[in-house]
Amino acid sequence: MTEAVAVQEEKKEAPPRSLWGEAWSRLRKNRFAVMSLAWLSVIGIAAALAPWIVPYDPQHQEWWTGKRPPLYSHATLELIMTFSEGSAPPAPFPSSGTHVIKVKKEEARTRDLRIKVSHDGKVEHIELGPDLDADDPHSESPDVLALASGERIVAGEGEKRVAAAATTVEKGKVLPEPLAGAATGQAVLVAQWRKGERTREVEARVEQGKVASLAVDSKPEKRVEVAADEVLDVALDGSPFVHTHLLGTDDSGRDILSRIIFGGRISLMVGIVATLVSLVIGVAYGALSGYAGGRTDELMMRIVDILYAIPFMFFVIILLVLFGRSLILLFAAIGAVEWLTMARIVRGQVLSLKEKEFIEAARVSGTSTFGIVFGHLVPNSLGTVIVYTTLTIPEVILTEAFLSFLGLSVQYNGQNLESWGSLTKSGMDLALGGFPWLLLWSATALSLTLFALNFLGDGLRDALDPRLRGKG
Amino acid sequence: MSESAPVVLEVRDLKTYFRTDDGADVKAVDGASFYVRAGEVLGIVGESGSGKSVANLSVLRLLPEPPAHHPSGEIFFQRNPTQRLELLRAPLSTVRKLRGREMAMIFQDPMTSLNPFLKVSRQLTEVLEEHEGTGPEESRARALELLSAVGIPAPERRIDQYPHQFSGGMRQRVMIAMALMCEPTLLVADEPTTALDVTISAQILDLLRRIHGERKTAIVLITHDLGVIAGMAHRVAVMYAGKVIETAPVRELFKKPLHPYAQGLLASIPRLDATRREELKPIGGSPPDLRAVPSGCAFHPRCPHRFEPCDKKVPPLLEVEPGHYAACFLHPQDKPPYRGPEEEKK
Amino acid sequence: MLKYILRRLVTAPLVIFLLLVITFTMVRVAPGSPFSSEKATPPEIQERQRAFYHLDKSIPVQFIYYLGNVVRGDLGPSLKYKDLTVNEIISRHWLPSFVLGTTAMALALVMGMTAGILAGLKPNSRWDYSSMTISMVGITLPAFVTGPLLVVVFSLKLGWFRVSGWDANGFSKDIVLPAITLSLPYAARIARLMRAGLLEVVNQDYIRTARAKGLREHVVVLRHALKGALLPVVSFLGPAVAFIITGSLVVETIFQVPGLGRQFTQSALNRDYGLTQGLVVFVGTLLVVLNLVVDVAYGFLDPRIRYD
Ligand SMILES: Nc1ncnc2c1ncn2[C@@H]1O[C@H](COP(=O)(O)OP(=O)(O)OP(=O)(O)O)[C@@H](O)[C@H]1O
Ligand code: SF4
Ligand SMILES: [Mg+2]
Repeated sequence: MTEAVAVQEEKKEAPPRSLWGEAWSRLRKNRFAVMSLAWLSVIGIAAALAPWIVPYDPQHQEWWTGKRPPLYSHATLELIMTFSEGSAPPAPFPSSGTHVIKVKKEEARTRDLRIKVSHDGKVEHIELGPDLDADDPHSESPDVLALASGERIVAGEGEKRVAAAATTVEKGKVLPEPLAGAATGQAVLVAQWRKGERTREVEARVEQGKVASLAVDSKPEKRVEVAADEVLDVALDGSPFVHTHLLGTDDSGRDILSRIIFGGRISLMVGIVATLVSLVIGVAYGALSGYAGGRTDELMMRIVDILYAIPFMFFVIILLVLFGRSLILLFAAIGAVEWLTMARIVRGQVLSLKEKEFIEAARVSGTSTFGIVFGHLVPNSLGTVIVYTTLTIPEVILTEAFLSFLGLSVQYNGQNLESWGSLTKSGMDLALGGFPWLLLWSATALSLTLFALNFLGDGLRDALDPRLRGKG
Repeated sequence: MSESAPVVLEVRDLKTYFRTDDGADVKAVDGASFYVRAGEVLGIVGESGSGKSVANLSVLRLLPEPPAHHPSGEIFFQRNPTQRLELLRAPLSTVRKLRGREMAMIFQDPMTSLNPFLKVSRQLTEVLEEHEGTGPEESRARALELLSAVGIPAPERRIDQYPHQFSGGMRQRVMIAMALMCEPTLLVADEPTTALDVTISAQILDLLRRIHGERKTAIVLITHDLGVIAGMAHRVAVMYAGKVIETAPVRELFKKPLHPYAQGLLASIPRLDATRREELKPIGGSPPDLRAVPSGCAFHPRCPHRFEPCDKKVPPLLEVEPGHYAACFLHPQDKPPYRGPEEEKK
Repeated sequence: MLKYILRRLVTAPLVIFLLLVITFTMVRVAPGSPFSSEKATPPEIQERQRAFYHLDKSIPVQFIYYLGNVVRGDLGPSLKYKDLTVNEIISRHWLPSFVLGTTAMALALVMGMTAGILAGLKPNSRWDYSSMTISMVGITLPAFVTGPLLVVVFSLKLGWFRVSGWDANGFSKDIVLPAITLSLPYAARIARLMRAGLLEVVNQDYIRTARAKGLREHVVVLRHALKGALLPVVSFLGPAVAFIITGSLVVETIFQVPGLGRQFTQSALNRDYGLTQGLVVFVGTLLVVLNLVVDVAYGFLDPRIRYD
């Protein structure tokens, strides 16, 4: 009589919306999932368009502006740059064009230093322009010339002598040892002219053992040193040289934002491609195992159990070391590790689905096994597969980051492809030296993305199957 | 059953609602009243979802609050001749001390109601240890005694086993033994046989009947099965949509059900003389949605006799015939309303 | 129970065998392996290599020799350190890893279970929300992010600990940061499992029965709920051991702990395949054994398995 009293469960009016439409509207109500989706879109688009949107070339080093905090703009330069004719200019000077550095040298005198770089990438011509607010110092001749030890003196006959210790050559005085022997005639001294901190050739006339005159060679500069604190302004080939680094710069002055965006490109690409690899293997394996059922299924799942017990991370490491750290290998290696769970999940789905009427119907109507598995069972497990895929991507990203952190970042054409993992590693090294920004930014980018993927995965699961909410 | 025996439990106008995420309350129990006298068996029947379990879980305050809450109602429990407690508003700690000791409950599914991780001995003795501070030896002796009383063979061996080593029927026996550990005055048995197959279920009912005979425990017996009621209860309360819609001594109800729902229930009992299935007349329609109970008489959408006042006013529970109450407009509305056991004593 | 244990006992050697096959094949087949080009290897190491691997025999025979060596407990020579065997390297470096790993595991259990129980007992409370959010962070943040961050805060800013390094005498406060770093993700995971387990169990009929018996709430929780709620945590311990071992690769690198993790990373980067291979076999075997222990413990905890 129980069945007499019990009446069928009430049937709720189902809204005339598709499963996916409903899931989507549920997902939209989940604040975390929406925020995650937003973040993932931002980082995804940024990574995809990286070469076009990054503010700077991520490899571009500006070593004299290294380790700068966020929002840093160039105002001063720190180190000493040397320009010499016939050799390449220091970074960031592009390899051709005429660059003007406004320098403040020689006690508050402002001058233009014009550097012409030819197309072969060599400094062709250096010109330290006339004093902008004083007389041209070129006409000056020194009364005293300081020689550092080791500086050359070339005697008139081509005889070379070297100053053993720092010494001075002074007008009206005897030449110091070991130059004294130069006796009479003209000597060309190559020396640093302290006053200008430039290397100039100075001509000294010696008469009767005494220095009669010192004349600064008025030839154009061949080599100029500029200290960063002397630079007032830089124009690179005519365009103003003002760099703002939103997230600061790393130790070699590379723009952190650009590096993070490019790093994201690698991390996300590895995450997505390797997940797809695992998806293909896992879905095929799981679906076949679940559909086959019986002993085949048991055997196939036993294999999965056994593989589960193997510490694959170690193999991935060996693999990368042995066969080279290529991108393809990394995809394959990680994909081969991650498919196990996917296989289990898909199998579970297929097992429960294959008892359903529509599968029976397909079987009766003569659909092939392949057709049933991939035409019916797999599409019907799609929700679960999508959820799990979303949750696998962060795991893969993490794996790649882990490998990069250990120093096994992927290489392409012999170059390390930097991902968030290797950036974090560099960041850590810098942080230990007291510069935490690179670490903070790369860790933030990595963590936010991992969070977002996890939240989105959870949100999708809840949205696709509200009954599961709160579990796990 | 003597009409003058003291009332052990009286539930008056109990409402138990569940708060849901979207704000609407599920009115699982919506103004139910019933009582049990000492030594009496009260049967509660009603279809699935009518609020039988929720009403009785409310008595023991076993529902998590929230989501459960009680907009109205009183539950009186006679602890001893002088002490009468109102349970709904009593501190939970007071109610807790009554549970297991003065009122015990047996649940529907013996497979899940015993803790799979604890030995049966532990689950039995802890009741005594908790309430009476009995030492382990004595508790164990009592447990063994009860296990054999409920018909577990070789209790010395069985007591140290785990629940999964028992069959369903045996587990329900263990549950019963557990409920009896402290000799409670009230035993609530919530569909104690539904999960068991027919022969086992008959054995368990025999056991309950025997226990009742020996110990004179007041029992609230919840069931779908009017056959069980007929064989065991003294009085019956029929619940529909969270209300008691008819209550009477068993014989009265079976002889002359007054409420159309109760009539439907009785008509759906297969009788020994009715051999063909067609004679079973299930009640048409489906149970009401407890978030939006039909207006007026909650049964009206399914009632074959419904007439003009039925969807407008809620029919009150009236004493249509002496000791036989029903809530239905088909019966004269000038009868005295239900007032609980005191009225009946007169 | 016996069947349950036997089933696992059968799988264990199978897994180890597979492990040996894979490492052996990988190291042997790889184009960059020292077995394919012997040019850079010093002669004395080549000598030991030949002695250990029987390079003059065919590959299957080599494998059988290798198998024999491993079964006898000889993991072979290092290809970089002239006079060290893998066994010697392991015996020199296992202690820091062991100390670090067990400390981290213990820490994870204590932190995770406490947080999980508190959250599970009061679901949807403020404590529940905050601890579950924190644990989500804990799960997501990898050790190589938390580690350096902890160093920046506690070593560089606050100066409480050394930036890196390991006191050779064993226990010292050097262990604090690495152990925390290593344990955080597992503490977080355990907290979630514990909470979920507790919520699952608390809704079970037998908990209602326990309450219906009038037991005090702490008895209900400690005696009736906890055991069942612990099962997911226990079954997580197997994978957790594996993760802790993998995690120690990073943590030992960050904090310069002279343990096996760093040996492994170094050996891989140095292309010391002898050492790499030996360590993988060692760690893999260890994992399999520990998993076995966890499985058996699980069986004991669940009477439904114990008495089957
Ligand atoms: N925690 C809860 N939250 C919301 N609704 C609940 C809750 N517990 C019970 N209900 C609802 O209360 C109603 C009454 O349930 P109850 O278990 O009392 O029915 P019953 O008469 O015992 O039925 P059965 O014969 O199936 O045991 C049901 O509709 C049920 O869905
Ligand atoms: S009151 Fe009306 S609807 Fe309700 S049972 Fe009686 S006749 Fe039917
Ligand atoms: Mg019920």
